[in-house]
Amino acid sequence: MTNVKKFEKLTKKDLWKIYFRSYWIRTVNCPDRMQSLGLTCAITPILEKYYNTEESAEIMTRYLEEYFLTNPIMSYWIIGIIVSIEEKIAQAISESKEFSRDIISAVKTALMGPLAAIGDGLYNGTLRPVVAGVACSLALDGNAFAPFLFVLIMASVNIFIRYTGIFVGHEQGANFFEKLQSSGALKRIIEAANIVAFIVVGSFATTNVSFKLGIKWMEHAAENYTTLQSVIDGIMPGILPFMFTIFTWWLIEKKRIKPITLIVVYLIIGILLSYLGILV
Amino acid sequence: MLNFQQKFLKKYRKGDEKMLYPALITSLIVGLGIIDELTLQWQTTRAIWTGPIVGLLLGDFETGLLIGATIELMFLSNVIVGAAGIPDVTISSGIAVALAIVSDIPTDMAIALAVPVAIFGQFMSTIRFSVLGVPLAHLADKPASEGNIKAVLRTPKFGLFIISLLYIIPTFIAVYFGADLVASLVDKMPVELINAFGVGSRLLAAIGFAMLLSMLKSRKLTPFLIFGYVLAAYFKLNIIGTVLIALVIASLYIVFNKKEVENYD
Repeated sequence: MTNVKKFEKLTKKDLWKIYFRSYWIRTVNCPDRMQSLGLTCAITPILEKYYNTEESAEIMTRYLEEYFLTNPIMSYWIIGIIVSIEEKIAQAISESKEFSRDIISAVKTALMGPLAAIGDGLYNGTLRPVVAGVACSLALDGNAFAPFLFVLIMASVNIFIRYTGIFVGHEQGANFFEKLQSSGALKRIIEAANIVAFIVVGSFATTNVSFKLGIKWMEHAAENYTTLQSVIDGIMPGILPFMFTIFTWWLIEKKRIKPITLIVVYLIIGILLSYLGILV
Repeated sequence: MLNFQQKFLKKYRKGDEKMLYPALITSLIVGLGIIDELTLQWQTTRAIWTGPIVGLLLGDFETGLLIGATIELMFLSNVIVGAAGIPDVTISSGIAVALAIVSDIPTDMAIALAVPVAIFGQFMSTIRFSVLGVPLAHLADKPASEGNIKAVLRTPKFGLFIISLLYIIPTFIAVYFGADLVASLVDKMPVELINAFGVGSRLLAAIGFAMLLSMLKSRKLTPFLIFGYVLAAYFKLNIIGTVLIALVIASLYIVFNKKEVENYD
């Protein structure tokens, strides 16, 4: 029933084509299918290479209708693996062997959750805030290169993950992540990234959440004011911004208060307290 | 380059040119940001990029850098997870910087102004996803069923064009018509209130860090947070030194844990 034009292995050029078309992965998302249109675009080079119009229509419709959602950058690993399976399917058809496309749906469903967790956790959740935080500190010190440094680092890591996703993913196939997961390597990497994030946030919160208490009083003998802030700084420097951040964490995590609500509330409280002279 | 900018700035501040140039520049940078976010994802949507670049093109890089970095810290760990809308950092930082420069309002005011804009921008991502997303994505259905690969590949390009307009047009309108309005509002404000806005907006950085903390799932590692505090508060270590020490500890953690697993076998 299905025919392959002529089977030959995917070349580097084909893989590069897939790489570039995969950039549409999250361009047009919709609630019922999420990134399925992007995934369909990503595999079109395979259709062009192996199939005629009729088969292409069938395969594209199937890809379009299947829900797909993962971290857009890590999706390149899924695409690389899908491509390696598609290649095997095309080979099977050309040798008139039996095949089933269901394995692609299975791989997609199995990988999209864990890869979303890795991508959102490591790239968006750790790398970007840490690099952005460093860039912000540099920028607030007046370093003009900070924004360029930020985009340069993020773009390089981004391109590296995408490139290895298509090329290594295609080479290694579906077993790669299974191996990574069963050896415990993945868990260790995520924990190590969390260590970096905890240390850096601890330091950032102390230095970048900047407010001081304005409460002050006159010591009986001295001529100068003593501020409450200087007393606190003598005991534990920078403890107020640090504790304030932990408190905010507790509000978000345990009290389930939406960040957007906190932003409005903090802004209003800050303006009021400053107007009353309690914060400076 | 700066000389060129100053000349240009003088020219358009004479008042006859209106706000066309700043409005065009700001909406262009915001538009490029959203196009990047939906394709390359080099993170040029972030305030640490949008702010300084808008500043550079409007002739005041330093103001852009300062406002961009402050807004970035406020929204440090915005993560797009599925359909959830997030406060928009691109439109807000672009507009805040443009208004700070063009209307000549204090930077603290501009930063405080960015907050409502960011919340409004969150609404944009909801429209993009739920209202525009459905018809745009389903444009591909017919060509796909006909096996027309070229037409299928055209749909995301067309979608990208429409979506970028969704961000470009409001930004243009906000800068073009908002500049005079904001300037006259701020002129009437007492100085104490302007300072208060500054204090209020500086509290917001805590929210960015707190959101980041709630994303970290290995809770047994929380003591490292205190380690970070000690490095900053007592050792006065700057941020690059802190990141380096953190990287060393993280790699030690990987090495020692590996041994543990091997011994266990």
